[in-house]
Amino acid sequence: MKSLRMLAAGMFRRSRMERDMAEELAAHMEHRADDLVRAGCSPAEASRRARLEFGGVEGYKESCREARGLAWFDELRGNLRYTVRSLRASPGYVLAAGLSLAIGIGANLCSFVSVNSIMLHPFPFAHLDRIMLLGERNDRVGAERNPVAQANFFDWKENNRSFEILSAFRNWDALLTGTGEPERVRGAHVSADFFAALGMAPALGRVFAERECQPGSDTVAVVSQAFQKSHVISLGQTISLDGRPHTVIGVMPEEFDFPLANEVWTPLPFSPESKARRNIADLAVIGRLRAGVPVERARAEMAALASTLARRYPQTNEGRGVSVQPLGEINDISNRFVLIMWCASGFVLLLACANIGNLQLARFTARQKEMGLRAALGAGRFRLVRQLLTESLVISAAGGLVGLYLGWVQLGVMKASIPTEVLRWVAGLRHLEIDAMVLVFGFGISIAAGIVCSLPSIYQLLRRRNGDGLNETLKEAGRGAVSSRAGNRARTVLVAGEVALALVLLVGAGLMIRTFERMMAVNAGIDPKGVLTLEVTPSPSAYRDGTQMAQFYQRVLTEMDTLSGVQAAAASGAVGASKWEIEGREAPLPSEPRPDALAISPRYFQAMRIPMVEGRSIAEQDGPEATRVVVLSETLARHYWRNSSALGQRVRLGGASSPWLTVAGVCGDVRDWFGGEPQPVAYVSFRQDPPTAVRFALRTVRDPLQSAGAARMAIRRVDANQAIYNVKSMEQVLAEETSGVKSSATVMSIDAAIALLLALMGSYSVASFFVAQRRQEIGVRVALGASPRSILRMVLTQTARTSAIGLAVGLLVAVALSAIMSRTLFHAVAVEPLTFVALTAMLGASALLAAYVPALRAARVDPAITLRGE
Amino acid sequence: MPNQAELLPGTLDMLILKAVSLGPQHGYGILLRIGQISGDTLTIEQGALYPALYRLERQDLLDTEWGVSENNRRAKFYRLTPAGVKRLKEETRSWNRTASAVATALSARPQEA
Repeated sequence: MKSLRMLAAGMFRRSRMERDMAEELAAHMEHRADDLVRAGCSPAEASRRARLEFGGVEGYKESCREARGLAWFDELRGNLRYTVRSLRASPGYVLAAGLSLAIGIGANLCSFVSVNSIMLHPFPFAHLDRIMLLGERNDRVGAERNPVAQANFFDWKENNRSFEILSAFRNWDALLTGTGEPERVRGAHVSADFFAALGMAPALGRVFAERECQPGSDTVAVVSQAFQKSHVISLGQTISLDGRPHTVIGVMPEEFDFPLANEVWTPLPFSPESKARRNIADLAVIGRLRAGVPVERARAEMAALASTLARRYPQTNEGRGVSVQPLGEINDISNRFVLIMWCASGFVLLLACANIGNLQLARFTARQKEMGLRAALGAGRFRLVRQLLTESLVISAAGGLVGLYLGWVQLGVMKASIPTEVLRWVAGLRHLEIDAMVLVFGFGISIAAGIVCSLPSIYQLLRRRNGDGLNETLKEAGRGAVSSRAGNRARTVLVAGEVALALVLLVGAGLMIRTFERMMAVNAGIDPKGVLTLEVTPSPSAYRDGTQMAQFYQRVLTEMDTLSGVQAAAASGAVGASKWEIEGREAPLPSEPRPDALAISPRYFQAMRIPMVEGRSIAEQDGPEATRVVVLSETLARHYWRNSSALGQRVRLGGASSPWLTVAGVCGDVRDWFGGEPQPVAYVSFRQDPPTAVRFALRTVRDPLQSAGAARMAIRRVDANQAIYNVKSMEQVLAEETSGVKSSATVMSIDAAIALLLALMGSYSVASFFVAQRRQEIGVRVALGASPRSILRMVLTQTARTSAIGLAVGLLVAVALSAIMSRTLFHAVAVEPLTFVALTAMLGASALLAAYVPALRAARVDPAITLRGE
Repeated sequence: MPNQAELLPGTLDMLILKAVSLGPQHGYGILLRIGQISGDTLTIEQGALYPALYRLERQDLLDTEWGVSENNRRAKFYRLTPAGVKRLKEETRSWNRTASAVATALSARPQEA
């Protein structure tokens, strides 16, 4: 308490306390002088001796201030004042250091925003760590997070003790009618405790009651706030979903749209029959762990439960496990990109710090005399350390503020570049904002950067022995530069480190760019240019069976074929392929490829420009009554029929009750955009196996988006009550799919460009310093007959040696990191030796070039002037 | 000054507290008093006294007040606070224990080892 009071006193009445202290010490000396006079000294002699005996008044005062505990405050004021004065004297340094820190901090803030919203807070739920996503695991195929059969769900629900709530939901593309044009909305059927499991309450109205989750009484709906606003809906109003009227009973808060971008929630009705089903898996399951139950325990319990069920119902549950995954971790792929970006920006900041450390070291060397003088006047070494730290922190604080602005600008650019569709896919991506957490992080890294920057100078300062004192320091400063062999070593290490970091970043960026290029250039097997796509999910109330749906698709295609500018119109839609069986063969091993099944219309291959390898395409003749046929993709066919033709063979895509399909043709592979892997696909006729949702694809002569209106009209002419969605050009779709890689490539290129610039600055400044330091020596050499060329060579050799160390280290790190990067990104990253070699050579050459200017200056040294200057 | 003993580290605070415990005193007076009560064996560098005084004041062991000295000069007087009294007692006890232990140790003869 008292020290607090004294602190306050010290801050506001500092001058009085200083006066008190001075008076007290003076009184001491006067008392002593009185004694000496009494002992026979003359008054003048007495006061002189009293002063001598007392010792260094200023030193003791300083110790007193320290003892009083106010020293830090006085010192801080002093340091700050001193810092401002000394920084004002070197605006170039302040600008260079502040700006490079600002850039580094800005880049870090921007990437931390992604980390914060995508990795740390993807969902707005309280206790996110307790919310789990559960799925069935197929141990035979190694598939995780499969849908769950209703009977299993209820067994889990009743027999587990780990979860407070287990709740089921099912995604649903609802057709909204009666509010203008028919529209497809993203919906979910959810059980009554769904909202409670996520810990969310409605902003308006209420959520579902248990009795509403019965078939027949499920005609109520809860809507998202965005949906309520855009459709101007009030509580109690009726909306028509899939042709059935639903009463809106609640509106969820703005931030809630789980599962991803959801607009409408309706009850998930369980009938006694469906509840008994174990062979049809159609539920997604979320669970809320009881407080204090670790994920591992829940996993163990669910595994035990699954094996009990497997014993009891071997027919359906054999080899089925349960996967329990924290909901917060579902952004797995995005997280990896985010982390890589974060590392890259961290490297940039580190580089900026190394550069500033270097500049500070040069300043420090130039200020040795001043430092020595201050040391002689009684400033302890740690006081000087604090002075250096203060200077560094003042710059990093300014850099942090500017960095905050730069980060904000960068964030805006980044947000604008994300396709809206992607915003829906990645949880948390919509909420990229600078919040308190980001500010705290920014503050933290600014301080950390300030400290890191001053470490080289502090190291220099502390290296010197205590005993050196005034003489040594002044002598060293007098001798000029020779003083610091250690300083040179520190600088060399710093620049080598910079070169290494820059190389790592360059290689990282290079790999990302190559990956993106390859993705764009990958022979995807289709030609996306000039293709328009539209999606339709016919409402089940209007189209009751597959035949009706197929007829609908067929009529739309006929309409589309009449449009001008359309070369080929086709439809495709995924159909179930639960098994893969070849007639007369053993079941394939889990490691062997299994195709996805796609039902297509006859001109699909034409519209997509997928070539036929052998046999024929799906054709008009493949109607419901004709022989069931299939076209296999090339890699798939070649895997199973290595040395023979697949044509005429028979395969099955479902269980024993599904029909055998005769292979009619083999077509070219379609590759996955991300990894470039050929996708195994079995194409069937859409009239023999009609899909419940289709994507129409139109190959057009001109810009595909110009045909969008006409294509919509064509669908409306057949049925005006169906929602048409995802109307896009294929190239747009592609841009969305590759946007993650593209933005990573962009961000990393920017990071790498900054890194390159910083490393070159470092190389330049060290070469300059080297030349300035050895001016006399160079003068002597020239006087003794050294040619300008040999001087040039001397400086460049020095730079080359430093860079070579940096490049060697950097190359090793880059090779290791790119292996990690490639592995984390599913081997999608192209690791090409050429990229490494080219970038290493480029960086080495640039570093030499940066040193060339100072080297030229050295070569032009006039011995007469330098030697006389000494 | 062959007769003067080195001041052990940590003993200065104790000596100051002791000197002040004999009555409020200003800095110079404390210095003289320490010399006096130690039979002129222990002397303290004059300036070094003040940081110690400020430290003790900050620890709430000493209280200060400006007054007039016997020489009729304005001076800052130090006095023990209750906490200072307590601390002096503790320090004295622990010093005596240590000192007697060391003395015993130093007087040990070979056969006792």
